[in-house]
Amino acid sequence: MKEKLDRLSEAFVLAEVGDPEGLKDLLLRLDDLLQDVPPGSMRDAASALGRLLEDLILGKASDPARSWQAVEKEIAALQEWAAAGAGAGQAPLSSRVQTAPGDSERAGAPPSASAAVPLFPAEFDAELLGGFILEAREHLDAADVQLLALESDPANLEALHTVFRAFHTIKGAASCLDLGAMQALAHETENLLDLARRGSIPMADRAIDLVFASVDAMKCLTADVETYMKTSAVPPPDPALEALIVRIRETVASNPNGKIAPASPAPSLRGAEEPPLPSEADSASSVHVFSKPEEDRISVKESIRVDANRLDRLVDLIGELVIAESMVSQSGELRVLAAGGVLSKSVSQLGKITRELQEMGMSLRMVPVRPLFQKMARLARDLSRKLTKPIEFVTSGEEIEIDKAIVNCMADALVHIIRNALDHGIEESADARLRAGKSGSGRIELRALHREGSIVIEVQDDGRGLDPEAILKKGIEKGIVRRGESLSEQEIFKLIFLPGFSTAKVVTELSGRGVGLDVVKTSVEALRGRIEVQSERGLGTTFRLRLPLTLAIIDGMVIRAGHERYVVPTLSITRLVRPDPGQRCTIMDRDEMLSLQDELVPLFRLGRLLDITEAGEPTVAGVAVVVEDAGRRAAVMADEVLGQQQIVIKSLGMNLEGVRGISGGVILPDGQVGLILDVNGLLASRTEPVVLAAGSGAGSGT
Amino acid sequence: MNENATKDTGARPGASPGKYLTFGLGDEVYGLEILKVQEIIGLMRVTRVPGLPDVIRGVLNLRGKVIPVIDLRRKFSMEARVDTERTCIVVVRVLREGQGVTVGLIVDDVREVLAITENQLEGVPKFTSGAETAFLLGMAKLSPRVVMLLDVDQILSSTELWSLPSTLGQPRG
Repeated sequence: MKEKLDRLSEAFVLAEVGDPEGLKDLLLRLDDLLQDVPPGSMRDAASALGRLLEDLILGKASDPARSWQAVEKEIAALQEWAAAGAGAGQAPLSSRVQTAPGDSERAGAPPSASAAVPLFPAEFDAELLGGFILEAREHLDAADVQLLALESDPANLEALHTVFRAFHTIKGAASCLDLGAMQALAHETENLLDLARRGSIPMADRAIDLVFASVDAMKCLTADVETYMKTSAVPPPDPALEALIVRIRETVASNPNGKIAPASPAPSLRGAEEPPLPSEADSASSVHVFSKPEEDRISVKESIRVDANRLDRLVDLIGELVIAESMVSQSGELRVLAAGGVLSKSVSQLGKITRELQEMGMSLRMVPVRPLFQKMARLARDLSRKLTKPIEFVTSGEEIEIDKAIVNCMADALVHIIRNALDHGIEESADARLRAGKSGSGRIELRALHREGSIVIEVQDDGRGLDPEAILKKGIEKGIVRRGESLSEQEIFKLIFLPGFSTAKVVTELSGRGVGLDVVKTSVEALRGRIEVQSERGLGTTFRLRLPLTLAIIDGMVIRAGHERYVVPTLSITRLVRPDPGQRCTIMDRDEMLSLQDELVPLFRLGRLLDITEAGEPTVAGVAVVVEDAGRRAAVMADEVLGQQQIVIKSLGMNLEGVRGISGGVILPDGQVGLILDVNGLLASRTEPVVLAAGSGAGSGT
Repeated sequence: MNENATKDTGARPGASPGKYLTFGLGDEVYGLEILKVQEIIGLMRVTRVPGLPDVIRGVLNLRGKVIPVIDLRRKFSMEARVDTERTCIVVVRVLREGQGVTVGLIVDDVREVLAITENQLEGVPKFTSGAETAFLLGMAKLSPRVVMLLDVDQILSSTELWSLPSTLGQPRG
């Protein structure tokens, strides 16, 4: 430490007010020194010195010359203190710093008095603060991931360093921005981590829980800062925060090494210390296993933020390029010109480039599911602690990419399912599991995989499994299933997704909350995905979410009515029929019904419905497309079905609020615009009598 | 449109000197501020969107972006005419609530780009016949003819492209 102090005074001699480089160097040296100063009044004094320097660097000091004098005195005090013996723990000058002339208003309370520190600066630079928020979030996310890695392998020094760096960086930035509470918490956590870094305390149990709690608290604080920045609303101070700081401080203080700065340099200490015993890892109740832990460390990819509109425009243009390219390469004129020559080679090269560009364009919006999975791992860990059910949480396929919009919407659904699996799926006690011939700790697997052009996300637990009889009984009680009706197991499992069907008590005889799987189903379907469940009694349950790769593309059936082509989303089509005249009947000469084998569905004629005058009345030749949405069915008469294809959804560039039955546009392969039929809207128009009257009278006129 | 426009030209502050793209609707010649014109494209097949007012002929694909197309003849309540080879679409881009929006205008034929000077500008005369003078910024006397200078923003905002009357307006997903 003496050495570092010497370097600090060297830097001080070299630096001068108004020389940011020199001051920065000084600050770095001080930071370096701070690592070695034990928590206590001296450390607070040194932190205060740091703030003085930061003010000088940022040009915020009211009287630079006097601040500079204060810096000088403080460094002298540090040297004095070091000379007197670091263990003395006295802070001769810290009080003087508080009252240093011209700086009393800036130095504020020492960071240790967290409760008294104002949470937010009175004035701030929105840009700086915004950047800080983004950065803090990234650091905290990284810390979360590394903590999980650390928990499963306490000897993972690399992970520990990353966590430490995260807190250290946040602390530095927070103090620059006058974010008192964040700085204080980061400071205390850093002390704790520092002890772990030296090997003084094992990073397990209480210590790691505290760091996890601290990460969470920091996230909350970051959110508070964001709110403050946007609305200037100051959230009330959280008493839990103070309690957390006190707890961390107690943990640090209870460690014998925490009070006295180690005299020898840290590296040798670290080497001398025994690595934490594996048994400590076992005491942690949840273990998260990444499929490829090494990859986490390597895959630090650079990324830039791009305006989403620009991205959309780029993808639009690529789509057009594909159309133009196919028009060129397939034109007859070209074939004559290019018979075997250079031109044909160039065209085929152009085609390849276009194809690659198209793939690249599609991948621009895709992000790996890794961050989402990491969040879930964290959630599973916390839950398993809360429920005291030890589990092993395994993820795989984190590298699989999916549309960012889907990832954002998926999180809630996954939380529901994982909570369900832990709460109701995994057996109540290790004994129960052992009796069932399973290992004592439960296992939940979260997997992502590609299947048939869509993404499948599975949550598999090895718990009790669903009890079909209990579900059926409940279904009958609730009046959802008629008594005596025979349902297949799969049909019974589907019941749990119905609204109002509380699975909790039935399936697991637990007095847990009824988790709304119907909500999960709705949100998955809103993403044009599907959810299914497989379960074997006593062996476990698997929830399988099948999601489209991207929201921007749908599978659609292209149909023709009159001269226009329309697209019906394939997901909502149940069947295509060529109706006999006898299958149709009219109501009051206007509305038509189509009788299918077992039911009567309303029949729409696109020509009439959409007021397309030029469309003929295809009575015999037409095809009825039977569509379904939310349990309602209808048939749409089309002149012709042209085929099925993947379609990029486009906005029509105007408000479609008054337009009935159209939900958007698509660019067809020939470059023309087609319209997407809004199945939900069409169906709604027939089930609501008021709209029916208006609609049947005036077509779709506005 | 341009708040700094010369006031001596008429009742409304309107047209300012500068370059205008002129086009024809029947025998009449109209002008659009060149800065608002993005491009001119030949008439391509326009997809009709059911349920919209007749003024909006439909939508078309402009290099991957779907834009609405307004039939100016209909907009000005002029007699409809069969499209010819010279019929084309003037694509204009205007700012609306801070966002650039692109709309196509169908015109009979595109003429030329004219530089119009201060002393050629005239105010909009008042008619009693109900002609849609609200869409005019001003007139330009160019012997031997007169060019009517259009207020694009006024045309677009009165077309209810973005705020259709919500009598049927049940927003749906």
